[in-house]
Amino acid sequence: MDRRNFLKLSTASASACLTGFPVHGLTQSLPQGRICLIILEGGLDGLAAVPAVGDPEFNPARSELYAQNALEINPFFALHPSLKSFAEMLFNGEAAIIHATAFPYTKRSHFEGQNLVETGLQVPFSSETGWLGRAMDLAGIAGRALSLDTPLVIRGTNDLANYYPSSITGSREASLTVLEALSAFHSGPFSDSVAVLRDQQMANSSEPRVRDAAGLALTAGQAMRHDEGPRVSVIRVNDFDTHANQGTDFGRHARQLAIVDEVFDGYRKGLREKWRDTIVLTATEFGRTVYENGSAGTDHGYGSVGFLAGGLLKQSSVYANWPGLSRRDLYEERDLWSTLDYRAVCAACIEAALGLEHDVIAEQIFSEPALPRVFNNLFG
Amino acid sequence: MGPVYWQRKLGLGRLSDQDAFYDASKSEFVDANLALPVRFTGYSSHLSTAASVEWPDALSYGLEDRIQRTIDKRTAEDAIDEQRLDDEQERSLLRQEIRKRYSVMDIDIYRFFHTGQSTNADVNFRLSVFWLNHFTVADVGPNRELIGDYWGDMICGGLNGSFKDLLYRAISHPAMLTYLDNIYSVGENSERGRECRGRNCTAGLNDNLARELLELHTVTPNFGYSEQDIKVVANILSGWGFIFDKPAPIENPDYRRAFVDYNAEPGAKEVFNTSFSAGPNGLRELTDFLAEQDATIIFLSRKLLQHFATERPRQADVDAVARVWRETEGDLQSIHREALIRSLDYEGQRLLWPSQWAMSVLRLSHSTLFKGFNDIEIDFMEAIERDPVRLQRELGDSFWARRQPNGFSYATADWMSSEHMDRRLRFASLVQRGGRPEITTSDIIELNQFSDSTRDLVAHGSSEFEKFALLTCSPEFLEV
Repeated sequence: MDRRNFLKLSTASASACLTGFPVHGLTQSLPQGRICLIILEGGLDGLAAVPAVGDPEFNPARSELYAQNALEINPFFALHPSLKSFAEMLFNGEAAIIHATAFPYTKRSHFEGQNLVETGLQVPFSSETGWLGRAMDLAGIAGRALSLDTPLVIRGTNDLANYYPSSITGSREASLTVLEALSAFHSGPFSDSVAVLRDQQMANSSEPRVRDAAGLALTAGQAMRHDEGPRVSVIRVNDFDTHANQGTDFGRHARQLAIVDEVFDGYRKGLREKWRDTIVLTATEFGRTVYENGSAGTDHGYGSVGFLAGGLLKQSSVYANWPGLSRRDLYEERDLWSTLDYRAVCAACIEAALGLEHDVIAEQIFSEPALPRVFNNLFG
Repeated sequence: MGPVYWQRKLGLGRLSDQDAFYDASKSEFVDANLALPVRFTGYSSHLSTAASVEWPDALSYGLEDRIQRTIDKRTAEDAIDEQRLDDEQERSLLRQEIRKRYSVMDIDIYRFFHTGQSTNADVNFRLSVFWLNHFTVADVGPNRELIGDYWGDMICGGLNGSFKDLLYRAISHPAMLTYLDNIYSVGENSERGRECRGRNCTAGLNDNLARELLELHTVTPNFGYSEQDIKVVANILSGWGFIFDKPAPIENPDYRRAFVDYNAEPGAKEVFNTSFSAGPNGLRELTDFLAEQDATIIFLSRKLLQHFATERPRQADVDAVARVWRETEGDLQSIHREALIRSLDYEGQRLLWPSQWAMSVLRLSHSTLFKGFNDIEIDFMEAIERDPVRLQRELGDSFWARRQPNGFSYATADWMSSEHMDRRLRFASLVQRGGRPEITTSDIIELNQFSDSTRDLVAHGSSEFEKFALLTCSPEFLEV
């Protein structure tokens, strides 16, 4: 695939999920903070997004895949030029980058890895609930999703409903008669689903019909801005599996990063004054190989990078216990090491936004009592 | 529950009261259905009757033709790029022209949906969907004209063969070699790899297909393979496939066995305590080896039952299908037979996938919602409602559209939601409004012998419009 084709493949899909609506009557005791999670599907190449230009091994490894117009953050790290809004947040003191980090998973399978990003555990396919869902349960917030499916990461709360704008034009919504009859005749999840539709119909809710990532983030942010609105949202951006023709300043990977950038920007615009109570974070299943493969791309790896932004951060920072890029410093001589369990970052975000205690988060959400607390590094 | 219900459970529902196997036993029913080959059928226009006719030859394409179209299309697009037109509108018009002239993907997609809606071999059709999802390929651009061959010729034509053949043909098909990047993979010590060494050109292994061949298509991670094993498998795969828009490095290429020696890692390869030959034979030896592994057999025996019976099939049933698999050395018809007969012991435990449900709705009501095969190139104002791909995306399970190689999920929780229910209700109303159903709701109920409970539910509807929605979204229709 050459560059011309990246442009044609621009129908990158994204889906968003809004959740954690306050339960009526409990509003007083609710946390003020908001968490927005951006899941980057396919395995984000941390070294392309945040090149370690100060490492002498970087250039030899990445001669073909280095974005020429990367923005200098400090003498050691640069930022991919697609991340314009994020750069602005970084310079405004409301963003952070965590490098050489990953969920604790080293086997390089997308599907196991994606499952662990959502469950927050160490054994693939071992849980039916997700870490954000469990956090919402502990914080006592019920949920509603804004996506076609319900992402695993927020499953775990009892009251999950969802909405996602349909493009089936001209079709009319089912009548109450139909919904009530179906609700009575179905049992289990179907009955719940139909009951939710019936309630939505009765509440006569009308929602905007935008479905691109930026639009969804804006919509999500606007909904989260209200005191009665949701506290948690999830947006998925796919297509980071850049095995071939990854591109540099432009191309496939740059395009996907630009979408991520629009999501950050959409949240900030939608949330307005509530941005100060918000933390937005990214998560991906793994990073990619340090060395380019033979097709101008990178294969599945280990350590990657995480992006954080939002008013809950007191200052901008780049946080990395840098493991080095020379062959002997790499995981299995090929991947960037992870020197920080990314779940520690997730835990700090939960602590900052939902007010749960670190020990509770570590034990009850991530089943990892020894999870390090990095709250003070990021939010202190 | 008898044959009429079985037809809905294993297939997509009863098309007419002329079905031959009305009084059959379970095994007779399954045998009769498996004996019917998938022939491509459809209707000519959304204004015509739903009675299907054979898919026109003029809209059927061989692999050589498809590859030639891919090359011609890209040549034509390059010519546009070279003109450096400033006018974006003019450029996009020219591109549309080219697409109409060379692209056959839309036609393939219509053929897929029309056939599902009208075929009398609906059980084999659903088996083809199972394998299409198992060996997922999706439109990544350069392979879009090839997917129709992958499904229509390779999978539908391979349902009665052996698993070994199907595996080999799927992995070596140009649609797969392109989708999982193998066309870019070059052995380090291949002629091209050596030429590139030390010069300013990149050539090296790409392990995407190797990894998914082990993880998703055959033995699964439970087999316990290492990164080194994946690398050897990638070496065996190197040389397979080539990039269609670049000049072919070999003369008169045989596209069905597209092995390019120039890119292939030389020498025999050693992995899983087994030696695999140098050259193109290595892949066949490898896929044969993987097809025989118990990890593969058990994984796929379970997956087949998941497709037709339930998310969590009984171990005894998995073992029984696996036993037939070993006894017949992977004869697909025998394997399918065992899995289908056993699936009939599970009632109402599986939700139809969104697109299969939609096909069933159209089929049972004899509706002509999608554009007919004579109208594919005509743009209607209400395009989305007559375009199966866009509609399928709205329902949630897109074949053809870009998606991950693990395919659509067997875990219902991954996709079931209230929004999904809403989409199904919307779809049902769409069929009523624009699909011109030829059969009334009460006739569908009679012909397919729906239960008293479903009849009670439908009786709540005060109009044909509501009755149709209640039937198609009833527990009995959704859960088989």
